Amino acid sequence: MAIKYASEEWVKAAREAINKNPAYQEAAKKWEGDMYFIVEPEGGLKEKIFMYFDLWHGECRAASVVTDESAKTPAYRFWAPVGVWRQILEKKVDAVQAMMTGKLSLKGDMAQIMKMPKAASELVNSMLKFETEFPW
Amino acid sequence: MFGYMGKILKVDLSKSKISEEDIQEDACKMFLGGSGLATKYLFDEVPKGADPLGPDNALIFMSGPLTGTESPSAGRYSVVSKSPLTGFWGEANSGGNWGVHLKGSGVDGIIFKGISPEPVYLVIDEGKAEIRDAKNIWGKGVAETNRLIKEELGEEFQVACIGIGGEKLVRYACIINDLHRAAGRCGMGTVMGSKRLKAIAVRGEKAIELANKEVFTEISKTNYDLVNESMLKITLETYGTSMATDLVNVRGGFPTRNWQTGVFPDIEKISGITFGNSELLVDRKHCFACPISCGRVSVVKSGPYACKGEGPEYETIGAFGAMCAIESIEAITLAHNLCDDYGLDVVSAGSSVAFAMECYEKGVLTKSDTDGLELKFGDPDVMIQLVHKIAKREGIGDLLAEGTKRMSEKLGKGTERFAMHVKGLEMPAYDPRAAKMCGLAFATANRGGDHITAYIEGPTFMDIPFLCVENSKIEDLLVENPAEAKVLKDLEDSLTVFDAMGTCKFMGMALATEDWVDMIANCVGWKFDVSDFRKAGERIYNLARAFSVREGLTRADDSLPKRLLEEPMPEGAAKGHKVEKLDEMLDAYYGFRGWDKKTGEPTPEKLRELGLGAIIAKM
Repeated sequence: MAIKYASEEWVKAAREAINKNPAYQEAAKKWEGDMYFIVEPEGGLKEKIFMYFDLWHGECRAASVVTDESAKTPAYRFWAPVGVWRQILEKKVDAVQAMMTGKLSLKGDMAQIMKMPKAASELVNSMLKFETEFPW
Repeated sequence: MFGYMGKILKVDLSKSKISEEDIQEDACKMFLGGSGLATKYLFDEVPKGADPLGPDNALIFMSGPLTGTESPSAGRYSVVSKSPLTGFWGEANSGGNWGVHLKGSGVDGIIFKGISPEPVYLVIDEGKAEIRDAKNIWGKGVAETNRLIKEELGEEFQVACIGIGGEKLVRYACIINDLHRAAGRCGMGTVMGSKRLKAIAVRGEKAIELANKEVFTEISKTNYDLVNESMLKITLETYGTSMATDLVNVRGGFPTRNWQTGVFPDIEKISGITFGNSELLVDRKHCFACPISCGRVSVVKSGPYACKGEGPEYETIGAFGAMCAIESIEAITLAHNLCDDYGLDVVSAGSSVAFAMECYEKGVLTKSDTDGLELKFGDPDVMIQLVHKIAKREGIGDLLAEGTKRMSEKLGKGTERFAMHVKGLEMPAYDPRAAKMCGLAFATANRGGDHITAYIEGPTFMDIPFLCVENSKIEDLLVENPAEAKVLKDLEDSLTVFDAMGTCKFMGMALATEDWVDMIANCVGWKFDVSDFRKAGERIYNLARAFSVREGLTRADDSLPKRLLEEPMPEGAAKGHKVEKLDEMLDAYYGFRGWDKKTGEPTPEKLRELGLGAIIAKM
């Protein structure tokens, strides 16, 4: 059954999928840094959604939807309209391509991100392990 | 000497005489090689005030200590001369394989002086050099020149040559090796043409002795693997240098219609991603020892722009695409390949066409000046015709062949306001109104309007850091922050070392300074740490500046076209922005450099600190 994107249930499912993905664990074994995935309003979505993921050495230690942006101070922030997130999760747009075209924005230590493209790719692959619904 | 072949060739073309000189270890320790060592020779060999196209100017080809080794992307060589575009220090750099074979032939570099009475080319075969008659290849394009030389000498010879553009003294002619790799900027091909030197063919497989070969090999492999796993490889290999077109356009800094705006509305028709996903891209290609195949092998199968070759690169799409408002990626690809065969710098050529189009739009040029052509923005056929005319200096092409600075001086009528060059060198496709630090970078670059000197578009438009400096972060693209002038200075110094080592500057994004000093130290065998790396870069940068100061450069030359200083960006993410604090930024920059704020000259104290005290009296 499809899970509503960016819901608390979806974030938990994503965490579980990340932790069950050996390819991610291998690719991200040197990764240190938590992040916000920020879903910006578009279409029927009227308010920003902040998804928090704490990623550490190939493991997702925590994941939740955050209502107060200032509740966490993650090392990385990725933001895009919901339609772009959908294109990425439906593999219609590559995440790297989305960054290079300015559709997906990010803030954080780019040097670390530049070193670990496989980890980014496997992170997305983990989120494809279950069905996602976009109701907006 | 480890890392070097130990020999420099000196060729007096006026007397048809070749001599050899041992490479000096002291000079190598100070300037490494490549453009660093070549700049030292330029300062020593070229008299003050020499005509760039006269016999006293020197044209210097130089490899670096890492050229031809197992270091990642170590296939590069530099060409240094007094530029016929700027009248100051000129430099161009190229990859491919030619530099490796130059070193394999047994020489580190070649210094040409004089002017040959007849067209000639130089052959270096396993260390033996010979000047040959070039009558049968004079007048030929780059591809045909390569074919004829290889037919005469053998397929193993690698050729660097000029095309018809260099022969005709188009001021922005370049030198092409491996058929499509260009030592592109500053008119180095023009200087070569002025000396009636058509080509240099090299062959040889002499081994490069390394100080600690086993350690060097191990470090190089580790570094190669690091680059191979980086996002830099994924992005550059997938989309080429033109990957940046979309992002720069989104940020409102993709110069369009000769910089009248920074947003090209039809970017999806010409972007790097569009090209990368099209059938025009048939293969990817890498330079010697490079993990990244960023080169594009392209074919336009049919139609008026049918061609087969390489490119287009980001700068071609910028200059012949958005700047000229051309929506046809096929026409842009053909323009790129024509420039390769004529031996023209795509940045200066495309910019000159765009400038002429705006002059036509404003009525400064009319059909009576343009051989009947309507130089309208967006017309790909006209753009292609102009490329042919420039290379042959035919009709209106004779004017465009002079570059935008001289074109505006001849045309007058306020055209200097939108002649988009710095010091005479046309600017690359990044509008400083949308990333202010680019303005300071273009204004101060030793070559003139140039992006490669500091690669400032990496940390600005693309938000990609350089690991070869301690800090490359620019906080806000639209804010002119004098404190961040230090980032520019550090990038200039550090990336200067890449041109001296013989490696690609892209690698500065993927590997840290510590990685490079390990390779250099184990290559050459003398102490070389991070401090030495930074000092070498600063020393070479100051020497190049000192050369230009000697030739008349002042603070007033460190400026930008009026359009960028006075006309706000009309639309897009940078709407309303212009470069407003250039003077304040220059003060800060000179401060970080230890240069005189009134004159922009390196101070005697700074030169002495860098071990350049001997040149003070010669400036």
